[in-house]
Amino acid sequence: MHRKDVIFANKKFSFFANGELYWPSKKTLIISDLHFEKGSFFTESNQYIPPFDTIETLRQLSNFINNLPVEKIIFLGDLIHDKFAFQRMTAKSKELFFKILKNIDCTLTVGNHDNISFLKDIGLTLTDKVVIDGICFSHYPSIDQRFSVFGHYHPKVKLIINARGIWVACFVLNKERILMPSYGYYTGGLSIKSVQIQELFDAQYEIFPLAKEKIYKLSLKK
Amino acid sequence: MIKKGFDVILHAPTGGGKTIGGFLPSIDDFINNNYKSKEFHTLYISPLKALTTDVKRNLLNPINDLKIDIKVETRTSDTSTYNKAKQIKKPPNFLMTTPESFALLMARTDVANLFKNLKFVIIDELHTFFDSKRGHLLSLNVARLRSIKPFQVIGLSATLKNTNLAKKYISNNKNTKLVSTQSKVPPEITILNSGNRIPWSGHSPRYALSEIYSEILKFKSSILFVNTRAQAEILFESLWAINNKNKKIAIHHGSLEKDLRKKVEKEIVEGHVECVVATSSLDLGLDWGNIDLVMQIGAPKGVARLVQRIGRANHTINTPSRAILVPTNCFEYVECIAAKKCVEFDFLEDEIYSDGSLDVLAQHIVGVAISQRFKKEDLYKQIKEAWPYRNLNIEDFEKTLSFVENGGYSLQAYEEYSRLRKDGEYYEIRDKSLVTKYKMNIGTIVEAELLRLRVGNRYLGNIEEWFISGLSAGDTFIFGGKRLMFEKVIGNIAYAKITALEHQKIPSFKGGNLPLSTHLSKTVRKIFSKRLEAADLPDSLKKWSELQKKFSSFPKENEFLVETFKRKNGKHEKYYMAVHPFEGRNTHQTLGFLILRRIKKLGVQPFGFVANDYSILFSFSKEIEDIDFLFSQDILIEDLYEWLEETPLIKRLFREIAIISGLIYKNLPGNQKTGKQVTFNTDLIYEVLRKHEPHHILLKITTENAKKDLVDLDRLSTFLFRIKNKIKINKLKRASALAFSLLFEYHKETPDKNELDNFYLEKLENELLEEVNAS
Repeated sequence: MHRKDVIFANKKFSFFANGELYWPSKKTLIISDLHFEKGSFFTESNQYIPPFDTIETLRQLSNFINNLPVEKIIFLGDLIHDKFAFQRMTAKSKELFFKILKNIDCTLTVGNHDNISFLKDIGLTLTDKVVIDGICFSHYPSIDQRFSVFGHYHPKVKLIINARGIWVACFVLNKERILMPSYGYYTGGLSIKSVQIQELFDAQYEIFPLAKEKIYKLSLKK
Repeated sequence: MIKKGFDVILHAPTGGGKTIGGFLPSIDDFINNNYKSKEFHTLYISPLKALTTDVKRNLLNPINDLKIDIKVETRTSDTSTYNKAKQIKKPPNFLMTTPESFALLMARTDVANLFKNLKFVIIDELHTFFDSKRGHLLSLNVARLRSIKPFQVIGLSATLKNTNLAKKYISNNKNTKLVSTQSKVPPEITILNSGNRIPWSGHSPRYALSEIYSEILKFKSSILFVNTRAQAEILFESLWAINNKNKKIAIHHGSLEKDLRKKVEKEIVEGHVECVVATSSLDLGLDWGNIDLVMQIGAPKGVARLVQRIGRANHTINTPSRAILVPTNCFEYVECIAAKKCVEFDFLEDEIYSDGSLDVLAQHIVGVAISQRFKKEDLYKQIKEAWPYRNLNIEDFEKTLSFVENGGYSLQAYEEYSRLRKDGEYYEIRDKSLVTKYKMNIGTIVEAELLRLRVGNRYLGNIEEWFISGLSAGDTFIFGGKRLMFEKVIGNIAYAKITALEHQKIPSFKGGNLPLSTHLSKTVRKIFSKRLEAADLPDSLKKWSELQKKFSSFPKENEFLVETFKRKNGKHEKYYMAVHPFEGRNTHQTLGFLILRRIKKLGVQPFGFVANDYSILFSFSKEIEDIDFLFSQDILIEDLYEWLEETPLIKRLFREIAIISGLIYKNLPGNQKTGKQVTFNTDLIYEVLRKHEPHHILLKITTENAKKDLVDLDRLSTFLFRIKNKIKINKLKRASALAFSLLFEYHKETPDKNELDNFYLEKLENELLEEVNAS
């Protein structure tokens, strides 16, 4: 698994090529915006997208867990795409997901897509934010903590390769913030050049594009 | 024949009054049978929206002259909702429409009542429908309408070779008759003779620019056809740079905003524009009687296509059409000789007929279901009546139907969310919301993702998203003859402003770059093997051909020429292999990739390859001993399937199929406001489908389409079979004249076509020439 190590809030973290944030000293995995069953959600508009996104996302997650010691997972919100996601989820996906919930301490910092009443009592701790060693983990950027790790925006960046632009998901990092890429299989994204993201990263920042099982690093200045 | 009730094909050259001729039986029937009712009597279907208006105008003249009370109207995507509704309440007798608008009419629930007195369906430019998804859609709807109400079909075409298949296409009843009137006067074709040296490579007519300009000056009106939009932009700009006589020159291509195109078309008709530089956007359609000269700049690529283009000039039947061909490099010169010969001997390509594509069928089934409930067996029978679908097997039909119902996934079904529901033996739509989605997404032409280009407060046209995505703010490019500086993209609009700066990029629009036809390629090979000496060649071409013969040879007719040589590239020596199949760019691209894999298998490091319509040039790290192995037929086809699954081209194809078949909707109610289109990344869908449902019907369609469109599998295997044991290997000390053309392309790394670049090319060309002369 390809990764880049970074220092954030004086702690050592690793960004992984599929969009996982790993905190080795705490054996903690942070992933964001899984959007379970986004594919099947669109049956509502008569679009029958192949319903295999959830299983793909979960297999990727299981693979990570099998390769590195993970004692705690923080889902940074938008775990499910809509409130009926669990109803549409296949038995296989459910089995895989509940196995993870059973074996690992899992917390969800609730996001705008997460309907709490459908996520209660499944072995998942629900909360607004988790603060560990002064670092706040939540769906939205923290307003009261200096160091904040968050998701929600699904950042993507345009790489120009052979005179063609290719959009890929990325991590965005500065001294005080980490914006997580979306971990879900079908999820789209918002350009890092967009006002919403630029507002959050006003000084010098770095981006870590994810492309084809690899992670890269670009430094950007305003 | 028409009175006897036969379907008829009217095959007559442009200018032969074919369109009006097609309407005569219909008008005759209208008068003689005293057709009184306010109902559809004749449907006219054309591939071009613009044609419907034009034909209506032309038709109204005789109708008004004869004082017949026939109501004629057009119905296309440009028709207002109000007028469309009015046409249903009070149908015009003659309706001019397009395949898409026709399909929408057919999806109405009152279709049987609407067409109960229909007598004729006239299909114009018939040949454009044989090998296209639009043609598949049209054939399905004609077949369905036939099952509702019998009528006669009249097909019109100016270029038809395989008339037997054309007959079958329009009706399965095998009683189609052909009326053919061919022009007695063959066109006058000349190849432009410029005193200047014809380049060995590249696609620029710059060497002949002043001659082109003086030809334009000689004629009152002319069309300059080019092959790509990029060429159109460059030629247009270069002509204006030397336009000291202030000739009124315009540009016309498919990416330009509709209003701008319409304006140019109008000005041509009215004579305000004296010369227009155009791409295939002007190939079809509007009858302009006043064009005196057609010039084809660059290779003609196909005989039928050239004939069609030449036909744009002089729309009267008794005088010859005049055309001048302007090759842009030595290869193209030979191709022009070949094309000229083919036209003179009326040796046209057979039309290609393709089997009905299943993504179109999926779209059609939704339309049928919206119109009326159906039984599976009945629908299957009816679909098989459409000639392109005559061989449709029941398994594929059922898979397509199941896809329409709910995606057709076997591992996890979306049953409870189905589009269709079953009521006993009948299938019907589950809810009405489907109707709007179907209407908003009908059609079989899926364009690359386009952005609208806005300059100041005006829209100039549409430009490929990928082109814009490669630009940074401040980059300059050229579009619609204007030099522009890119500013930004907001939503689906790209903003730019006028600039005077040089060094523009030219959008090298996808498409427009047709491969050399099999037919023309055969003639080119013949000329190379035998008749090049006999041809009256300009000096620069003679020299080119002498050099080739001196240092290598021309391939004999059934020979496959392979040339190997090495060159110093900086400190390193590179090995090259130039092969000359003359099979067209698409086939060469595929072959190139396959050979590259082979080279790797031989343990040699390949650096890459370039291909054009005639040749492929490979470069690699050391000499290859076993060249025969590289081209062995049986193993190559195996490799092909492996390669197909990996190429990014197939994902582009999958996107098209996903949209046509209705897997994803490009337009959804409410989305226009945000300008948000396809919300799903189809590349991801393709990957996940391959992994989880490798036998899904959409993947099958993608592979079928790819075999035909992406790699032209038939052509490739015919080629490999043809060259078996006929490979001629010339080991050379240096690149031959034939190989040079690609060597240029190999060294031309930037896509920029600015002055600097041309200078670079010329410099390289001279260096290489010196090298040859020195030996």
